[in-house]
Amino acid sequence: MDEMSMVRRLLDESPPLPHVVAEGRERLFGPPARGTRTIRRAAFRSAVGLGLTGVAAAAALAVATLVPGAGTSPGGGDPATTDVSARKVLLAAAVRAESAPTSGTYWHVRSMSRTTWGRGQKLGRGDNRYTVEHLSVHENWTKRNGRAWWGSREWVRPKTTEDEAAWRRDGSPSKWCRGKTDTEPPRPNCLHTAPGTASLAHVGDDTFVVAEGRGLTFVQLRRLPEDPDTLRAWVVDAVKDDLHRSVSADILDYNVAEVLANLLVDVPAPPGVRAAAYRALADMPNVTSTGPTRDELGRAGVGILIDTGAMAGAVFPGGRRFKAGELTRKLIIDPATSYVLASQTIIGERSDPFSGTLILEVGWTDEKPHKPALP
Amino acid sequence: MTRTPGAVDDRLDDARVLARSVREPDQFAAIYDRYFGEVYRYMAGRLGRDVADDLAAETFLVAFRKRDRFDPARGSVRPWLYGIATTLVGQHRRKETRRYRALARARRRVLDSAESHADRVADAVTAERLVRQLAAALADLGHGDRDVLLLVAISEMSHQEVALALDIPYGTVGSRLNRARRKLRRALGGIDPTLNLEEASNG
Repeated sequence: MDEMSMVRRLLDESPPLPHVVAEGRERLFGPPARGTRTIRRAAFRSAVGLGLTGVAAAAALAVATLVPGAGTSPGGGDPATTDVSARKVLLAAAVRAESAPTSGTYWHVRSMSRTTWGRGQKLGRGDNRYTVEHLSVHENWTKRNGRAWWGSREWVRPKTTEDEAAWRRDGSPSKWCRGKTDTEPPRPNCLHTAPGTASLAHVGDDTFVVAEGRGLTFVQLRRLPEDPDTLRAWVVDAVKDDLHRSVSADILDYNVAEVLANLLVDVPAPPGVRAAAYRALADMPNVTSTGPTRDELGRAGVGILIDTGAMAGAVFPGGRRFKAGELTRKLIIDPATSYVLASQTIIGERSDPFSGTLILEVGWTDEKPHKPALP
Repeated sequence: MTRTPGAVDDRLDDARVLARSVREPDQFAAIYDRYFGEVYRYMAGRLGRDVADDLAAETFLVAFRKRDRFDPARGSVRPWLYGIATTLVGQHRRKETRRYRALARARRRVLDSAESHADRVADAVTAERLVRQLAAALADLGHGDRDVLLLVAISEMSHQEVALALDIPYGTVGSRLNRARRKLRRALGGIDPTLNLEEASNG
């Protein structure tokens, strides 16, 4: 990716929300008098599928049948693809979501993520080579007017016990820095084993992202539909808008499930919208439950899988092509509170790269922003 | 009057519609419908959605008031609109810079889609670093350079269109763009930090 596409991607915002388009028109022409033309539903978009190949042209018409029940199986879902227990769990979570508290000055999210550093590239010298994992704690506070604070701490540590042994033999280094290969090196770029100083910064007005770099404000989140069908239709529209070309129903479903899930993880969507997202997910044919499980911190929840079979053969930027079963997308939700405990994407073998965000705390609070403590 | 479907020159069509709108203001709705979305995204990219919610509408209000002064001989409607939009963005320079600085600090706020979950697994740290460096570099660009760069990057305008939008010579577009791109590339440095990490501690 060159710097121009990086800029494009960094600053890519979704089309205006319908009310924004309507208000702009009103400023020009006054309130609509007679039956005005339909304003196309604009939406944030999921970028999944861009750059995909292997999407059969034959699937061109499949988009017309993406709404479950509108297709070839009248009278409801196919028992083979609709997991009843997932449905039950998600519907129960929806009920909980409806009564989630909404009082407090700040929307607060404290999360932790863990990733294998540098695609598993080894650090160290000679025979003493090891892989490290990167850990970080992030904490965000956002007021209803959009003012936001952000704090974080990050560090690395040897990934496995073997890695740790190799790291010790290497002299237990506590810091690795990037070499100076350019006449004007960017800011210091070091990895540390110590969690470093916690930071807290006021980040101006912040928005909430539910798909590719696309932010919605509180007001925009509040305007999302609270009816599951309307919400799903809106997400479907958004995804289709982004995919541009005809896309197979299963790829579309995958994207829709992703965007719905994003509404549930760490954005302050109102209770009604969260409940609608849960209900819409419950009706998705590609969402199943893995049953009771625990997250990495041992917290009990229920695993929810989004089927990624549709993504087999997809080529992602960088030329990587996914094989069937190589990609796992999983949420662990706490049905008792409706909150998401963990959001994970696993590629390849389960033992290797893990990517996930653990939500340590989420919700409304009056507690003032402060530097993140270590977990 | 016959037209071959699909062969209509949009730019000519725009200019004609705009000229007609001087006497028939309602005609301007066609210009609004055609360009509001993309102008909005351009402004949202530079100033955030909150500001764009208001400022994109403002752009069309200004354009509407000036529609009788549009000169089709000088160029087409699209760059004219972007010129107005860019002037309005220019009145919010500090806000724009703050946005890039915020992006430079933000994590998981960008490049964080289902699509890039894939990249994220492999490249989480790399991607975040690059994004921060890129956003910081954007904040540091000169205003003129930034205008050119973002018209090309976000709105995919040709050099000719940028020249018309900003009312600058064609050649200046190229030199500003090159300078801006050089600065970004330099800020990104050795683009993959995993490639040149020194092995020794206290490197």
